[in-house]
Amino acid sequence: MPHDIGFVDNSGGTLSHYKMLETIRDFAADNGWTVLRYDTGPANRELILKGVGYSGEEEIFVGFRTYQNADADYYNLVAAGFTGYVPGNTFDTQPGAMLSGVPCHNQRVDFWLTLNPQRIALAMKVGTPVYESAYVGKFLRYARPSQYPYDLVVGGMLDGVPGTRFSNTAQSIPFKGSRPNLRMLFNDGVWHQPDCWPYNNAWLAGGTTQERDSNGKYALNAVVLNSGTLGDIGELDGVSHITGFDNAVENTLLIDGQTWVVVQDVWRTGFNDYFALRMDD
Amino acid sequence: MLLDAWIPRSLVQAFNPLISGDYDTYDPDDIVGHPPAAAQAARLSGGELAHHWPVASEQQRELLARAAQCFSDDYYHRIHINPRSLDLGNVVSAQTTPVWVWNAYLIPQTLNSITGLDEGIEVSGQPAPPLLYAALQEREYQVSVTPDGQPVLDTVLSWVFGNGEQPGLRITANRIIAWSFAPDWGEGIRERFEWLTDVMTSETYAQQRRALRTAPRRELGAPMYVEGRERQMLDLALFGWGSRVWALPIWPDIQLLEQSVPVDSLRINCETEYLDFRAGGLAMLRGESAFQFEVVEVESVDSAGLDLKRGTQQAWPAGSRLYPARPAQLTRQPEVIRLTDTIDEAEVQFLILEPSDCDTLTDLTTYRGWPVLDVRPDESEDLTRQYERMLVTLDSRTALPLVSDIPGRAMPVTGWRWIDMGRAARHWYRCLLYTLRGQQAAVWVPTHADDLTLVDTVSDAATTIDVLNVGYARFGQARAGRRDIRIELVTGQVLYRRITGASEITADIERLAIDVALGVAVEPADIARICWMALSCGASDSAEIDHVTDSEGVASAALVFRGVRDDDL
Repeated sequence: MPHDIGFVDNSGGTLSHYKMLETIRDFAADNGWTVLRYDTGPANRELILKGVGYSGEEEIFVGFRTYQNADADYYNLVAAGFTGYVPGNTFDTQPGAMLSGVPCHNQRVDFWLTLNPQRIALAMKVGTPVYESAYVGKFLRYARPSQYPYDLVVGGMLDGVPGTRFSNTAQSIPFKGSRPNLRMLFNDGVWHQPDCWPYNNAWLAGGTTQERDSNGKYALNAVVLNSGTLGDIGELDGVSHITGFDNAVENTLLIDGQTWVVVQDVWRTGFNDYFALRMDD
Repeated sequence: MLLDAWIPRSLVQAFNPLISGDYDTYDPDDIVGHPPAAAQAARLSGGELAHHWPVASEQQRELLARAAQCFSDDYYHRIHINPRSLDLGNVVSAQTTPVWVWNAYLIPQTLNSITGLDEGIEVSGQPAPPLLYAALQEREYQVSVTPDGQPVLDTVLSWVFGNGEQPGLRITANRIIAWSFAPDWGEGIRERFEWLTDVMTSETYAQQRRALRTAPRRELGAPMYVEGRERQMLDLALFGWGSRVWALPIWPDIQLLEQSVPVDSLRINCETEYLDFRAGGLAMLRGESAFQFEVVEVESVDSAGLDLKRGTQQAWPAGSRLYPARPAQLTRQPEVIRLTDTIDEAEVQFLILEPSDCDTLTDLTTYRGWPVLDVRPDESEDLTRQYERMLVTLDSRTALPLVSDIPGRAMPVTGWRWIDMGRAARHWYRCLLYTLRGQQAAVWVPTHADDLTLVDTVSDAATTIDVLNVGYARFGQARAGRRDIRIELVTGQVLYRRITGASEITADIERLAIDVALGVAVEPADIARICWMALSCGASDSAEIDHVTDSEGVASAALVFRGVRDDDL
């Protein structure tokens, strides 16, 4: 499955975050996702997509929209997941909507966009630069489809859709420990806030002990969603923890013929502030 | 991008002597952006990108890396099947179970075939192989096992995929068919229990008795009387399936349905108390002939009826017969007596092939730690009594034989009969059998005979009683088997006491010392009966119940008890 690395800017009078939305639409539509809604009329432009999963028989509802404020100088995206699609409803009132803001920019944005039939993942370099990430769609749950049919995850940078600029220093990637900007829809119909291993492991990703490369070779640990009540639930698809030890953002790795890109957590450059994003092919 | 901007003058319009006065010689028109006040201060708005200087690390490099193995490597990249095994137990009708096969590869796989489809196993719900499974696709199959085929089914149903994987579903089942012939009640039905006790007896009659079976073997025997088409079927059934397992109706537990049971019903309202229904067991519905029957599997039992695992396949009107049923096998091939060319008679004896549980009696009065069997025996037939001794005879055949009584004890052997009506009474007797566990457990068995006669008033504090002289001081000697007495007063009160000594007072009166005063003053006229009690266990590991009629009617049984020394040790 494909990926796209490129940039969008505000040439032609369209702000970059609008172009980012359009890029996601074009790329998803070209690669098996159905565009249920792409509305550029309102200031908050909307995109709702439906995926069919690997089996081709599933219905995976995800979406992105923009929200911006020129006075406050923020131009953001929203990563969203839904349990269905109702054409007459607004973006935010779609069934089971879970929204998480992703700060973006009205200026040039470099992006890494990768998707497969069941999920879309995105990393963006904006501003200073800082790195902003999102993950919407299914993960690799440890259950059969009939046991856990709709294993949807929505990961953005913000809890909800606050008016937060990319320069905010509190925002963080959704995979670090247990954060409200990563939500998982479980069989009980509740959007749970799972823990993410190994970021929640004090030995592998702690303040005093961390992983490092082994003789120059780095280990990628799959991000395992887990919870004290639900147990080990599954792994994110194509998102792995990588140590920041002797590492830097935008480094690349080649595993089984597939390239992974090292992305950092906004402005942070500590040992546990990185993840690797698989460029699907 | 190119920003519109201006540089504000500091210290607006102020004269600064430190700035060179030479500036004053310049022509203001030559100065771009002059006068400053004319410069526009505009809000920054998005403009066209003119230049881009990406902030990229010059140190970017490609790392050596490997993906650490995680649970997904165990869970994905293989074919899953669920469930892995089906233990269907007794198959009496077609049983269908959903089975899910999941291609947990992220690439499509081809199902080439399904193997192991023995006789009587059907797989449906999906197109026939070869069949393409999309990546991560799960398909649901219906696996049906019918009663036709090998009696013991133990097979593996495999889904063979193109990549060589063949996940399997192990199916085990016993195929059984209903014994739908009705018994001839003319001679009743015999139900037999057989425990197994390892009895080790010393030369002093001390015993160790170990129960070797946790549940007794249970047999049901009845005469069959068949004619016409039923005779023809019985003949063929014995010929074809004589060695197989049958779903045997427990004939005495018959009842007639009070409400009709519609087709596909998951519930049968009926009586269940004291009947042999059990969760996970079987029940049989039967019509007027051996050809109208249905065996259903019981999911759970409550006081008002049965919940079934699967819906009934036929509609059953009120008045249909309902039996509990158990898997059973013929203990021997019956000899069929040909009465005429259309009528046969046969005596069948079935061994039930699963343990039959029953409660034990917990409400019996206890004396010295053992329960007392206070229930009087039925005396419609003469009861017998005997003393068992461990005599050793040394006979050289030339001289007179020498007989030695090694333990020097006699153990009373007491016959006991029971007859009663109704399900509760029958259940009570069955509980008694399970309490005794063949020869294993001991109970106090009173003789229920007039064994001693009180001649004088006994005060409430007295520890002696005076009785008619019957030679107790000479023969009884307070030995096991003849030292515990049951005193029944006319008021119904029952007292158990142990005789600790005896002496002759006169030729007609003996004085017996008892261990504990009676606690009530007793006149001779107050006594209904004083009889011996002997601590005894069953003399045999087998016991029978003779069901004269069905469970609402009469049943009878007989037991023999043999004394033991358990209270002596």
